[in-house]
Amino acid sequence: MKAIHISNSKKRDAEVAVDTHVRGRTVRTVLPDGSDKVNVKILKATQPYAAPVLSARYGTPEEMASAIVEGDPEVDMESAGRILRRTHKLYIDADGMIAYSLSLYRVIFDPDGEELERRELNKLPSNINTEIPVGWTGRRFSRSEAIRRFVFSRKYQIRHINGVTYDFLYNMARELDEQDEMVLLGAGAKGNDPLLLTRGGQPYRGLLEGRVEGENYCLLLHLTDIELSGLE
Amino acid sequence: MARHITFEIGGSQYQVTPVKVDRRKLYGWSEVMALDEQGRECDLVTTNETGTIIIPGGGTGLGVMSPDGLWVDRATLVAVDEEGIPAKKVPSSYSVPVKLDKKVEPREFLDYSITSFYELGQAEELLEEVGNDIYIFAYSYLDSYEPGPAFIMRGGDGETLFMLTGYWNRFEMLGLEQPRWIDESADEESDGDDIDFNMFF
Repeated sequence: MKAIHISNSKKRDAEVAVDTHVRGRTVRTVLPDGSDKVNVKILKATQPYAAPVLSARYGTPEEMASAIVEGDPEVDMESAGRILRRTHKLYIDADGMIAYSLSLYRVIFDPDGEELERRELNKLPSNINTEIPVGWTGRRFSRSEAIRRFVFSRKYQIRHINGVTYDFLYNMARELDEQDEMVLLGAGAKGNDPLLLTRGGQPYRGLLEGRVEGENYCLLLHLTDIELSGLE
Repeated sequence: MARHITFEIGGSQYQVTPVKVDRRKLYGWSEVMALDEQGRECDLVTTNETGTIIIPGGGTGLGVMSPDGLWVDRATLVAVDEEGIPAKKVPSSYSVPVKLDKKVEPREFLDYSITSFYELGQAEELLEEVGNDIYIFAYSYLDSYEPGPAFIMRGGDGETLFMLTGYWNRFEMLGLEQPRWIDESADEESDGDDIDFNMFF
């Protein structure tokens, strides 16, 4: 379980846990006898048999297509069908060789697909568990307003790790629940940066929602990177 | 061609055309580009565990096996619910009228993650009928054993009607006796964004 360093409305802070595995499922598939299936990742194609390599070998798309129909030049008979366990990512150059010296850029496109900017890739580290806690900004929204304004695509549950942090999070949830409000969180020195949950990951705006029932609480982090608006 | 969906509410039927709102069309997007020493663009590929096999994009797939290691034809799998009872196949939401008869409050709506949303055009009458309520229904693009939850509600401007689809999250009410431990190694784990969707074909 990940850690988040978070502060409350009084700027008291603590490191607590954030549960990222909350997705529920109601239907699953099983084998005909009712036993559980095993999902595996398998190898379908290898680089020496990939389309660009075959294209270079056969010259024209027509000749390549004929060769594929007549034989199976695209199938690596030695490797296809193998079960893959761990895999790794790397870059290959235009000759299909492993590229050891690379320059990485982030290319920004506008909605029409035009390149706007190209800059050196700088993978920012996660900012939810640093020396500076993720804190409450002054922006609050009622639940009804927040759901009509933002699309929340990811949700995480914040959990206590001991008795002290139980009180800390319970009181945070109660404060929000009593006012039927969600509060916008901010990271960084100025407390207004978006949240980065992983290194180089997508930045999100995070809103905190709390629920309380008796002595129990539920504190949820709702993440959004898009407003609920039409295309016009 | 745009597909129509018919909603039934208050004894009347309303046919609308959902138009998917794509984040790229609103804000644009970014991509990572890799150039080698000669300035030539490089491709991101996968290797196997030992690094001896280079796998191009789309070169992996998902398979199903039995617990004793035998290959299983996906067509023989059976969809079951949480109790293990065979699930019923439901028709596509685009092929039969969808009855809107269940409402949720904002708090319940917040239990769901939204994966896609659609602007409903030509829906003035339905917009009036929905008002400030949030309707939930079971949505399926195709005939499916596992329709997902979907919602109909007005946007913040009060003038646009949206259909939102997503999935339910299993949140818990926590008591003092339910602490969790922090796994320090989990902090830099991938957030799962790098799925190669060619695996599914």
